[in-house]
Amino acid sequence: MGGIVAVAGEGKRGDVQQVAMIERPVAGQLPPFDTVFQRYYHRVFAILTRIVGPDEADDLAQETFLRFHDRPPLRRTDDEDAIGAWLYRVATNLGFNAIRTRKRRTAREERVTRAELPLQRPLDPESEAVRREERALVQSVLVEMPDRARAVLTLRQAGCSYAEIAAAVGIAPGSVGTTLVRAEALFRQRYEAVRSQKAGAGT
Amino acid sequence: MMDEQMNERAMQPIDDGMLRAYLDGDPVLSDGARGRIAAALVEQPALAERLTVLRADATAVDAIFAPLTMPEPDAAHRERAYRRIQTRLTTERHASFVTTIKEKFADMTTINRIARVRRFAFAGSLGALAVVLLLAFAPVTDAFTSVLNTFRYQPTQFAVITLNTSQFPQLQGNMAKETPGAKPATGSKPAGSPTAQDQQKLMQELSKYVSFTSSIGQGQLPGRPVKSAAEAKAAVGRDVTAPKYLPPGVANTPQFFVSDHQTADATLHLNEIRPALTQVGMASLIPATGDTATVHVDAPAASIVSYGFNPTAQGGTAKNQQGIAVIAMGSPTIDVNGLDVQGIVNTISALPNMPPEFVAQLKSADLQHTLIIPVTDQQTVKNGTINGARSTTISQKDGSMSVVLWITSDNVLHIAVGTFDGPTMEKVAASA
Repeated sequence: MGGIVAVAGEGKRGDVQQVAMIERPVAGQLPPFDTVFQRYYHRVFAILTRIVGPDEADDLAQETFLRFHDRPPLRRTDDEDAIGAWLYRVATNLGFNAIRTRKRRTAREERVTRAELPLQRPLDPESEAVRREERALVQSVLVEMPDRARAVLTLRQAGCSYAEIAAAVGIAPGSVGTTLVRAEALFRQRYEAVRSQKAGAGT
Repeated sequence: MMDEQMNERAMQPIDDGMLRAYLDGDPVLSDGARGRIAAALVEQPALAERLTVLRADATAVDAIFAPLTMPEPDAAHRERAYRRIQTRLTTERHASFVTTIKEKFADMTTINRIARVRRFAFAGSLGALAVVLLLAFAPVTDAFTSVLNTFRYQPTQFAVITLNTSQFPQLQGNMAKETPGAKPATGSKPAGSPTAQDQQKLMQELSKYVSFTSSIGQGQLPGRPVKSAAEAKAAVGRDVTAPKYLPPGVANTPQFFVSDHQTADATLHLNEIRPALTQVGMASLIPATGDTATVHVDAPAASIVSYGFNPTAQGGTAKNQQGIAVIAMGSPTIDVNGLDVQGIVNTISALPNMPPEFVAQLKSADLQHTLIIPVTDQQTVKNGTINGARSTTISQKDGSMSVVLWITSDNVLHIAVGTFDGPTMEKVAASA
């Protein structure tokens, strides 16, 4: 019967009732959905662009917030750091899962709704192709790294503080720097190896 | 806690992690720790050199990540994203609902069920359950009026609704690949079909709106073998319908089963449903007052006689079985209370993506007196008569399985099913 909600709602997207409908499942222990969305969307999007690139980041950011809507963390209302950590963790997992499977990208390319996001349209097809290649290379290295290392690296690249990284990854804040240094070293080593390998194959 | 940790660390030797935090200017370092590092960098050239290396590493990594850097989403971007989340929250809920309906139809596909030999004995109960689901999710009857909120449904005939398998992908594979007598392939759902976890999630979601109770327990087999026709008759209260004609190759040793009287109930939680309907101006679909609406199914006992099947057979033995079975059960009654059934039929029919031909068939059927049997376009359907009673024969196109359904004047539903083509099974049915 849940579908009746959905069917009936289709003709009324974007109005006040719809917003109320979004908020309903998270009422009680957590801040309203809107508040969480406004506060964390940009960071979640930033994390995902660094993992999957901009084409998929929007979809996965939405998926992250849908999960928050459907299965929010069991935290107190004032524990906002925990909400951020939860969102970053979900986004990171979704991102790396997406890289592994690539299913989401395939589906996305087939979707008409991509046209709704002019921000992500390539301005210059040639440079965009180069960027895509670079992204693919970075992603291929990241996906093969240990979970913690790649999460720390990605979250730092997305601008998360050490405290946020620590909460999302589940390590002590004082350990983030050391983990980050090691992750960066590993990443650079592997990245350069793959790049050299590709360059060798190309010649 | 963090300050304590940092103060503690401030007294430790300065390692790469602390240098990195210093480099990043992250507040994880206390002011004291930061000052200590700054002083150490002046005093220790090696440490300063190490900081330079770390800075170069960080800059190099930043450069590598540069192609993945995007401008921060602006307000318009966030607004679009928010709207899309709204849309997904509505359309995916809808998709879940439609998927659930389709799953229920898949479950209700009688021939799909009875192709599984081990389920012969449970056909009567499954039929009752199917009707409950049909009523709950694609409610039936156009005889309902706005002033009459109680309805009794008692089928006296069968009608077939054809489901185009391309529109109901979860039926594909099940129907095309099903081997008579084969053990149900529980782990091999067609691509695109919801997983068990998906279904569990959907059912959890649905449970907010509809509760089901049934005398058919979870994992409990409602059918039971009995030793003789006499024992089956004693249990059911009428003669066992046994065929006199057996197709060639079918062992003529009968086995008798009884499916005991079963009930199933669906309770719709109107207080949960009403706000959603009110929100979208469709509150008239359900009564303005009242907490619940109910659907109650009463399925009389059924007798089953089978030839050639060993219900306990497994694997290759089961696959190679040739046999027939005849099931007889009293017509179930279904009572509906507290629902504007016609309104719900219309709502179901108006759901986006519902195949129009399916909707047309649903609307055109005399649903009050008709037991709806969804079949797929991979089967053939033929109407006829069995000993003067109207009948419907549904056959797999390859002739590997057929079922004949008819209702006698005493309102007893009969089902003859077997691993043969339609004409052969009609001959079996006519001899019963």
